Amino acid sequence: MYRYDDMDLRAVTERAAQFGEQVRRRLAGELTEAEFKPLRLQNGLYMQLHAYMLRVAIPYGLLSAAQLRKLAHISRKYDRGYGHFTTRQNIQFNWPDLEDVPRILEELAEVEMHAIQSSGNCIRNTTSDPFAGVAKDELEDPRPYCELIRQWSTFHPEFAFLPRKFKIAVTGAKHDRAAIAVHDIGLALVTNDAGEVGFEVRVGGGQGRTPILAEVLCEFLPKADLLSYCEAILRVYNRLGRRDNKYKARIKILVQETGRAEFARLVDEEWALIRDSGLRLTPADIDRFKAHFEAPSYLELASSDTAVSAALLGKDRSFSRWAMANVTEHRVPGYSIVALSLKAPDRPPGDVTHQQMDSVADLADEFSFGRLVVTHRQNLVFSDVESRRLPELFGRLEGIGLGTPNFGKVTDLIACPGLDYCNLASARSLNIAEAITARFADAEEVYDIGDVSLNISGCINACGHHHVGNIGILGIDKEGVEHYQIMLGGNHTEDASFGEILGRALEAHEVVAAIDEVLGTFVALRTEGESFIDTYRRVGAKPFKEAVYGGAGKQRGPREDREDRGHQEGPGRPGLVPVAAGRREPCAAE
Amino acid sequence: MQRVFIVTANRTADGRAVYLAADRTFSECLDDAHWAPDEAGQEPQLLWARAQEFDVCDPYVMSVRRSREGLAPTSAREHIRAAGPRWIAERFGYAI
Ligand code: SF4
Repeated sequence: MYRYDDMDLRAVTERAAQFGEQVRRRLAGELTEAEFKPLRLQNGLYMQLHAYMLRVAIPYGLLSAAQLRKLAHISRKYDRGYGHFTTRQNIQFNWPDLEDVPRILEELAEVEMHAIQSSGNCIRNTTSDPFAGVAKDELEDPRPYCELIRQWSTFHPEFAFLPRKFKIAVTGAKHDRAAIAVHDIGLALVTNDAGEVGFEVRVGGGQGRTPILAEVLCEFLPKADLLSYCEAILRVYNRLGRRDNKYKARIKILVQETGRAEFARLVDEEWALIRDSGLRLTPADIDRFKAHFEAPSYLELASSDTAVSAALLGKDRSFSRWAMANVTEHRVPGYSIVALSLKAPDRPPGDVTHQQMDSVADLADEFSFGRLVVTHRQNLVFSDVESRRLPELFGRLEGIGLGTPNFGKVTDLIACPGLDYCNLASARSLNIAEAITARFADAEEVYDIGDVSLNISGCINACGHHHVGNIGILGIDKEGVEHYQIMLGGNHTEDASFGEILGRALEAHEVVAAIDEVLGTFVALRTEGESFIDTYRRVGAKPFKEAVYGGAGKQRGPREDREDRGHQEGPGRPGLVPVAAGRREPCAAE
Repeated sequence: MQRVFIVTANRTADGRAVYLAADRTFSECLDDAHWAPDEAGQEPQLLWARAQEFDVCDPYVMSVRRSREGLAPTSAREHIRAAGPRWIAERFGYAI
């Protein structure tokens, strides 16, 4: 993985010291909140509902064991003993005191991490395929290019105050695990007719209140031009993107309003000016970056087939279920890619305790060359596990609560922090996530339902990617009361699509029953081996709508009397805590 | 049950939700909040709170319900803000 050089180290250390002085001035009453806010945002520090939140960047999700140990230490020493992995492959700490943040940044710098550009209207963390470097369907490892983009975009003086935030995702594989269609720039490594490898460049994708799929701007961009072309796009956006209306400020709106062809012309015009500048990448430049991502020293092992088949066919049902769902074929014989599910029933999606982080770091050292990856679906991945050691690893993961066999299944749901933490939220998402997880606690049933993505956002900003969930749930506020819209048919992969709203918004207590109806309908209608999204695309929304809301015009809401599928009712229902029940009592205790 | 108005903000040091009390201190307890029967009645308190910008961030007036049990927020957001994510802490064994 990329290691900081002296310049990188000095930059992050100096930034931590600079922010330390800014915090001192804020606490000493020398800076107002209005003056301080842009400074803290540049260092990933938000003010949330109950506390500050610090978002730490994890470039393209790649972490070393030493870095994870540091994150564990930070959560233990300065926070409340846990961290939350996000859909942008970052980590958030929910409870830091302001005076501790500079010290946290110093500690992060010690392990080559920071929170720079993890917030604000700038180029954010570049995200990528969590299986990068090891995926069987990969044309080329995207991480050297992610790192090039990271270095180009960090502290880029022209792009510190863009009209809005800007997100770039890169994939090198056929199957898109990086959701490139919903990024401001989505890059896919492709081959042209001459057999050269370059990039297909998409632009103007995004979710939020106006979901738009990115359009192809350039079908084949030579690698040498990656940075100059991105710079040209950013320049056009920086100049013409709307600054008068926050809701129309993302590049997706500019591309729509300008039209793809005209936008491409503007980019080409700009590009012509800088294409042959110092931004041009030589093969030597690219090789220098590739050297940071060289494959580890793999052993020469027999194919994984026997080890994996033994797991799948073995008597240990829980192990075979886990191997089936959480283990993916590696490009190197004898190795496997292992997903560590952060979707256990006893934890909010994406949360990990400091003990778990320490244990995962130890396991990464023991089983996966001391590295791991954060996925945009809020899980962790060990990229390089010897297949013959899968049973041992599974046992160890189970021991720390990270062996849930649900990767890609209904309970492997994405949920943003929602109204339990987020200042912008309209409704909670974690209570809905917990209730759905409790309802689908039976591993056999989850396995039988098969692959389905269920994504929950606490507001229209869509951090929980509800638009691209096969099942999406969006929290909305109806006169102060939390409601939820159900959407079906979204997908974030190479045939990306946005979900369609199924019907009227539901109250919190109706949501589990609705999901139950949706999945029950799917199970009844699917053909042999058909996944949820394929069934939905084949049969359309109608049967699902009828199952949830009744016949045309009835709008009766989901049935809440289903005992047959084990769904619980009443105030004791897990997760669906009425908001008033959380009343602080007694006040003085805190 | 009466709808009344109070002033709230987040504390600069740690971001906690606080409420402006009658003695012009900021309390974490909603019931300590000074209330006025209408929004305009909180204007002087709001101005005062804004002048305390080194201690608190972004004060605003919010409506609450007043009853014999005390003050209660009227929206899910303010309920949760007043309570802290208590159910999560209790359910998942996190520190409060
Ligand atoms: S989707 Fe909304 S509620 Fe969820 S984290 Fe984003 S801004 Fe907050």
